[in-house]
Amino acid sequence: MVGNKKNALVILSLVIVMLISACGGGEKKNEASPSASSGSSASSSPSESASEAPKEVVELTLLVNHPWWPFKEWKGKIPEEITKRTGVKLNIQLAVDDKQLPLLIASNELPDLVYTASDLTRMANPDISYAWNELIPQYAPDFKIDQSRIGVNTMPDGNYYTIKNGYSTEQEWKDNPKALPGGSGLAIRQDILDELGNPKLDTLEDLYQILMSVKQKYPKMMPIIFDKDQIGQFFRINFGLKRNTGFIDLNGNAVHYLKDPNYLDYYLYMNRLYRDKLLTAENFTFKDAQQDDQLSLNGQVFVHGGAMADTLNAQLLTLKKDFSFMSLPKVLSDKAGTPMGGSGWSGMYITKNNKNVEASIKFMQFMMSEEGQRLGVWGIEGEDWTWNEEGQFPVMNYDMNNAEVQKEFGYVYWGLLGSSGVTEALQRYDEKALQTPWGLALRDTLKFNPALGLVATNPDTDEQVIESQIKNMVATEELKIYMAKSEEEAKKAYEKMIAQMESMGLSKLEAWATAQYKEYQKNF
Amino acid sequence: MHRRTNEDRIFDFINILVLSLIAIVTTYPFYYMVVISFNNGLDSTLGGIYFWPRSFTLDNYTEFLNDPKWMQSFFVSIARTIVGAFITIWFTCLAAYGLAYKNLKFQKLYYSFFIIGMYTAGGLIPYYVVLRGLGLLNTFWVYVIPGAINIFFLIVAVSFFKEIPAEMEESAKMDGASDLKIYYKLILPVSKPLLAAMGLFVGVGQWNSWLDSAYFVNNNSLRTLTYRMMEIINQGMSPLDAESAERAAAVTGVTTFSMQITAMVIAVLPILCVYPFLQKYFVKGIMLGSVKG
Repeated sequence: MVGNKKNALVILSLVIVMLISACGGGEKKNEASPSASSGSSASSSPSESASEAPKEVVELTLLVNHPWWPFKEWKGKIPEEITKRTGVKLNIQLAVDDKQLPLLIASNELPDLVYTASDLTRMANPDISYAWNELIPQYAPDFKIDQSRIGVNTMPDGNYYTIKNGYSTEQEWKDNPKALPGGSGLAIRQDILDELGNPKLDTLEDLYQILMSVKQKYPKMMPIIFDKDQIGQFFRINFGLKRNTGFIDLNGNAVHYLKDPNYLDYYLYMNRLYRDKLLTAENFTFKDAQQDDQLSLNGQVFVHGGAMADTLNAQLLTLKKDFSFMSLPKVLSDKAGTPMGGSGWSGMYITKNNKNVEASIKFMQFMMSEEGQRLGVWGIEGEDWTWNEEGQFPVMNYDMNNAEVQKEFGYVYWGLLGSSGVTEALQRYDEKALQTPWGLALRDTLKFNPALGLVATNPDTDEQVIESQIKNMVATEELKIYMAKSEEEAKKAYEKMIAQMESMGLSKLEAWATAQYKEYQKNF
Repeated sequence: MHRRTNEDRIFDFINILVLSLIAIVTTYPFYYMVVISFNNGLDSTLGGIYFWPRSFTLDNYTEFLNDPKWMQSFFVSIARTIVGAFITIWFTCLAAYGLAYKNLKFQKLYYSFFIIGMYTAGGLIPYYVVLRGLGLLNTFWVYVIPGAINIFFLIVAVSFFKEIPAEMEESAKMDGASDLKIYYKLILPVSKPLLAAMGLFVGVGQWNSWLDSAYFVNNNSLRTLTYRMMEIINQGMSPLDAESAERAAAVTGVTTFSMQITAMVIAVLPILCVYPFLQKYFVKGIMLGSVKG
């Protein structure tokens, strides 16, 4: 008996030791020694890189500050191809929440590279990141960035520490007529629309009438439902409105986006839908993105806002359901407009802890080159995509809407590290997709004002405090407008919200924003 | 023998009914998770599954077991639970035994050190800097060393040890046993309820912890199971601010949601297996320590 216990103890200890040694073992593999890295041949410029494979691979650690990012490893044929062409392999660190980056900044433990859409002003600090305008002449003199991109990324200290992805100039959009912006459309049940005799659907009032007839004919069905993050977004587009953040131009001044004269009309339309029970209160309580999908796939929804008909139909096909969705191919108002974000979305920062600055800036040079952008977002030319006959858009040989395919090969997301808005937008063009006509309609509504997009408050400033307090207040007050019992009440709730914004220091914020706006306008 | 009256029967009936209801309400969520984990992921998104899988599949588990990343995390979690619980029990009991010793000089001073330590914390950034200074970042030991002494259990253990009759130690001393011998051969064996309760609490704490894996470790081979679960929970969040992020959906039988549920079942299972064996010591261990003699 005693012997058995001893044996068991010995075995247990051995297992623990083996586990610990196994756990620790991988660590060394992932660490690239600085000396090994510095001798790398990542100097290949994009033009020569395709033909000449680098001899030694530089390993750099990248913090992706987007907890939802679907790719967790530098794995799949696209990242492998990028490594082949640049000589850079990335070890991915995925931030688990929004506190991780500030923690790493505060403790000076940043990895080689940081890809983030938040904490931009903190990252754009000469103590934390290298300025690209200093690195480029030294390490990559043939890395040419156009003036407009430099303009929208230059910080008050005169340096630019990143070039954010997702940005394209108005001219670039004009030059690429097949580039489709991403935007929330409507997926509508085709069979029910047919049963209703395909009524006229050209205006927001037509949509309202159709929803009302669906409510009468199918009382158990939810006439319209929105994805939890897209509530009302289709209607905002139709009223030409911004959402969540930022400023609009009103008589040459930068004013808070909620003061857009069309905002009240939008709220009243949403309130009308709610009061007539076309939009349910339950929709405002959704906690995860699956709830709206579940209702749609179950056949309980007539219109799904924020969903893509192509994606829903692929799922319905797998589930062997006997109905499908169509994508509304147009906007329903002459007020429609899509304000462009301004300066792009997420940017790559080369930190002061970077162990191979030269390889890093050259890596970004490749990722931002046409070759790199297309490889990252679309895949390998000739194998994954080819130009259409007129050379206007890529024709994909794989299903872009399948998340599994994206993950397995690493398409799309790694391309976002350095892509332009137009490269991302061209990938959406698919002649066969139901979504394409909507995308074409949406691109006609694009409104450009990059100077306005640049006006953003800095962390730890009075302006940011005012802005975030207003944002928190709006989150609850907006619900009161949506769910008001009468139009009068909705109007009063809107006026009360604006008055509350004023009492929270909005005029100070707007005075600051207008001064910034006028300053930025000089660059354009 | 007391004869059962109608009143007794009605009482029993209501008692059984209420307790059964409580049992069902508490066990059903777990049962539901098990059912969903055996159901086709895409089919699960339709909802309406309550008691058994509608479209039975082992795909969720196959996907889980085939992915070395998950299995590795599973073993890291097991290792940190065993090693962590062992180290915490070892150090906490040793410190507590010393503090429980009647003739210990400056006993109150030592005790107050621990109490101050329990109530004050420097915050995440200073803690991070300390861990870096100690060279614990990015090592397995960051999971177990910082929690080597659990002050809550130290207090429980001190009062537990104080309740052990002093005569026992005295007689052992008269027989020539040293302090350490008394501790290992006499005190620890009679403290099994305390050790079991501590083991369970600390073990569950270790098993569930994800924050240290997220913040203090960036080596993928050291990630824990709960961290991986956090990753897929995060993946379900759609980005509000990402203008350029794309929308794509899985059309396969394994979805983010079904993986999430399967991971939860697998994560709960080991604790569920251990719990019944420790449960008998559980109440006793906590109560004994908490009652002052």
